[in-house]
Amino acid sequence: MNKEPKKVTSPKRMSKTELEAVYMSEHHDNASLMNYLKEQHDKKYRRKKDAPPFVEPKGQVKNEDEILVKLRDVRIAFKRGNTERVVIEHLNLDIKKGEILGLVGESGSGKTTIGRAIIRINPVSGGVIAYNNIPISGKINRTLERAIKTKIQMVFQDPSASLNERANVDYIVSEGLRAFHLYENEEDRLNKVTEMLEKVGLMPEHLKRYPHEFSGGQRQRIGIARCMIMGPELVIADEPISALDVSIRAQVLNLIKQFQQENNMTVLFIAHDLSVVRYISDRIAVINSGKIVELCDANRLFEAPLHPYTKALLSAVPIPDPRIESKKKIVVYSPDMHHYTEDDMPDFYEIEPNHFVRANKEELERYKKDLEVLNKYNEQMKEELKSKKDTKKGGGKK
Amino acid sequence: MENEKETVISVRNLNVKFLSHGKKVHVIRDVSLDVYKGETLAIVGESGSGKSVFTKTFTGMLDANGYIDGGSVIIDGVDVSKFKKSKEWYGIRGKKIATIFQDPMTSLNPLLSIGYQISEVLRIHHGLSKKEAKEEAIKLLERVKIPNARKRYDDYPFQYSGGMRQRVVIAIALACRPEILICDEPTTALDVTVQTQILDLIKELQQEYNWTIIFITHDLGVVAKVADRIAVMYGGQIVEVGTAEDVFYRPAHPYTWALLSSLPQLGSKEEPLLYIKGNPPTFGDEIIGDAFAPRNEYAMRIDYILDPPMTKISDTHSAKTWLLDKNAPKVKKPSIIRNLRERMEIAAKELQKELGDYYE
Repeated sequence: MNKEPKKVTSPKRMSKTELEAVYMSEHHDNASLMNYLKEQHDKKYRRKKDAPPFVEPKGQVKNEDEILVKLRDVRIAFKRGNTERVVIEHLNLDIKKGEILGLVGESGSGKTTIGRAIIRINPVSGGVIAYNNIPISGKINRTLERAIKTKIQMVFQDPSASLNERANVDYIVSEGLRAFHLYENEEDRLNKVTEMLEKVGLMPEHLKRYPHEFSGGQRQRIGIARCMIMGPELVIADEPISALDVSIRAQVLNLIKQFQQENNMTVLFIAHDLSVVRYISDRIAVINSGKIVELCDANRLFEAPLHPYTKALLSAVPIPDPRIESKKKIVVYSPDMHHYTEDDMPDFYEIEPNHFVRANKEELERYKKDLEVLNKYNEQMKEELKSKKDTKKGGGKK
Repeated sequence: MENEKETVISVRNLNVKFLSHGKKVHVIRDVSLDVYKGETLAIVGESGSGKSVFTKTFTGMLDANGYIDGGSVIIDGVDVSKFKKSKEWYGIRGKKIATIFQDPMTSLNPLLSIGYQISEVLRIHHGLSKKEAKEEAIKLLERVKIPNARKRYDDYPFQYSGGMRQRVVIAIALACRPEILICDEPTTALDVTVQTQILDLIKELQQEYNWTIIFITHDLGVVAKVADRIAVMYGGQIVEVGTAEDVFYRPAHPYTWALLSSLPQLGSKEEPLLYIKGNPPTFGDEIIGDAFAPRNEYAMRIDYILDPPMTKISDTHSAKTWLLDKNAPKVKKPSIIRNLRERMEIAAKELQKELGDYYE
C-alpha cells in the first residue's frame, strides 16, 4: 500500500495568502468577542462568592463596521519579583479603519505600552485586544500570530537604536519579505526594495550602505521603508519624530501621511507633543497615568479642551514667537485637582457627539458649562478672523 | 547702548578640524561671535551643523581627534585656544563655565548616589567638610525644586525621573557658581510639560545669579522662550545672528526662513507641511560657495562659487547671504514668513484661550 505522505504545514512555511486564508476562516463579531471576555471574567471569579456581574465594556465608536482594533477592559501590569505594577487598567479604546489616531501623554503615562501591547511585544494581563473582532492578545495560535504580524507593523522612536548596525539597508528593509516569503525570486525582491527606497526618498545606491552612514532623518526613512514594505493595514508609530531635528520632522510627518493616504492604512501615532499630533491625526486621545482623559476629533480638541490635563499639554506647546511666549501662562496639572470620592467615581462620558472626557458627576456639570463658554469664544474668534480677512481684501482692492 | 555691554567670550575667525581616517575634516569654518554678559544667546541649527563642537572649544572639551586650526577664543582676556595642558583649563571648567548636556543619564554616574555627586563638587571646589557639603547640597536640591530633598539625597540616578535628573545636573552646575552656563539641548530628551518647567527654572536661576547662558537647541519654540539673541548655524558657519526680535520678525537668511516655515505648530490640515528639501552637508564633503545653496530655492549662480560675506543689516543683526548684496535681485520672502506673525497669533489664541470675560 502506498500511503501518501502526510502533508505538514507549519505556520512558518505558509505564505501570506495561506495565512490570510486561515485568518479569514473563522467568523468573528462583537458578540463572539464579548463571549470571550465573559469567559475570561467567569474564569477569574471562579469559586469566588461575591463575584461582580459581567458588564460589557464599550468603546467610543458606535458604528461597528468602522472599527479595526478594539481594546476592551485592557489591563497591563509589569511584575518584578512579587510586586506587580499596574500600568493600565480598564482601558477601552477603538481605532477606526483608515484613520490616524493620535495618542498623547507624558512619559510614563503608558502610551507606548499600549502600542506595544497591540503588536504583542508587551503581554496583556487582562481584557482583550481584538483586530477585526479577532482576539489577538494573550495566548493565540501560532498561525494567527504570524498572520497578524504581517498586518501590523511598527515604526520606532529612535532610528539609531532600532536599526541593526551590522546589516546593510538591503537586508534591513527586506527582512520582513524574507520572513514571510513575499517575493518570487531574488530579482523581484530587489525590485521591491528599490521601489520602496525611492518612495521614502532614498537612492538605489544606498542599498549596500550601513545605518551609521546615514543622518537621523534618513535612518528614520529606512525604518519607515522597513515597515511599509510589508503592506501593513495598521502601523504603530511610536514617537517617530521625537528624536529628530525640527527641520526633518516635517519631512517624516509628510511621508507617514502620504503613505497613509495612498494605501488607506490605519495609524496609531504616539507622541508627547500635541502640536505635532494635531497636524497628522484625525482623532486624538489624551492619556494620563494609564487612563484616557479626553478623546475627540483633532481640531475639536484644540477648539474645546475640557480636561485640565489636556489644557496643561496645550499650554506647554512652545510658540515660536518671542513676544507671545513671554506673555504665555502655563497651566500646571496635578492629579489632586480632582475631588473623587467613593460614591462619585470618575467615568468616561460623551459630553458632546464624539467628544469624550473622563470626569465624575460634579466635574461633568462643570465641563458642560465650560463647553458652552468655549463655543461662545470660538464663534467670536471666527467672526474676528473673518472680519480681519474682509478688511484685508477690501484694502487690497482700493 | 552697544558700548555698555561687556563681552565675556569673544571668538574671532575660529576654525576647528577633525582628523578622521587620515583625512582632515573642517567642522567649524571661520566663525566669529561675541557673547555679552548677562544675556541668553541661543545657537540654533540642525544636528551636524557644528553647534555643539563650537561651544566645546570654550571649555576645551573637543574630542581627542579634534583641534583648533587658527582663530582665537578669548575668555576674560585669555586666549584659551592656545591652551595645551589640561591644568590650564582648571580655572575655566566648572568655575567659570559649566555645561548641562542633553541626556542627564550620561552626565550622572549611575553607581553613585545623587547626594554624593553634588557634595563631591562642593568638597573639591569649595573645600567644605562632608557634613557642610551635605547641608549645602540639600539646599541646592531644594533650590532646583526637588521635593523631599533631604529624603532623596541618598537616592541613585535611576530612581529619579528624566526631568528630576536634569534638575540634579543643574544643581551640580549651580554648586560651582559659574558665570557662564552652556546648555547643550537640555530639554530635547524631555516631555513638553517637563520642558517648560526646566526652562522656567533655568530662567529663574539666571535672574538670581546673573548668569550668561549659551543655549544650544534645534527647537525654535524653545528659543523663543529663552533667548535674547540668536545665532543660526549651518554647515559649520553662523549664517545669521541678531536679537530674538530680529531673527523671528525680520529673518534675512533663506535657511532661517526655511527653519521657521517648517514648524509643525503652523501646519494646517489642508496643506502638507513645508519642509527643507535635501540633506544637510556631511562633514567630509568639500563645501564650495554657500553651504546651503543646494537646498536653497533662492540660490543664485554665485552661491555655488563664492562664500557669501557677513552683511550687516542693523547694529544687532547680520546675515551671511548673497541676497543682501547690493547687486542681488530683490526676492520676495515666502508667504508663510510674511504672514508669520499673524499665523502665530492665531495659533497662540487657539492654545491660550482667555476665557475670563466669557464666564458670567
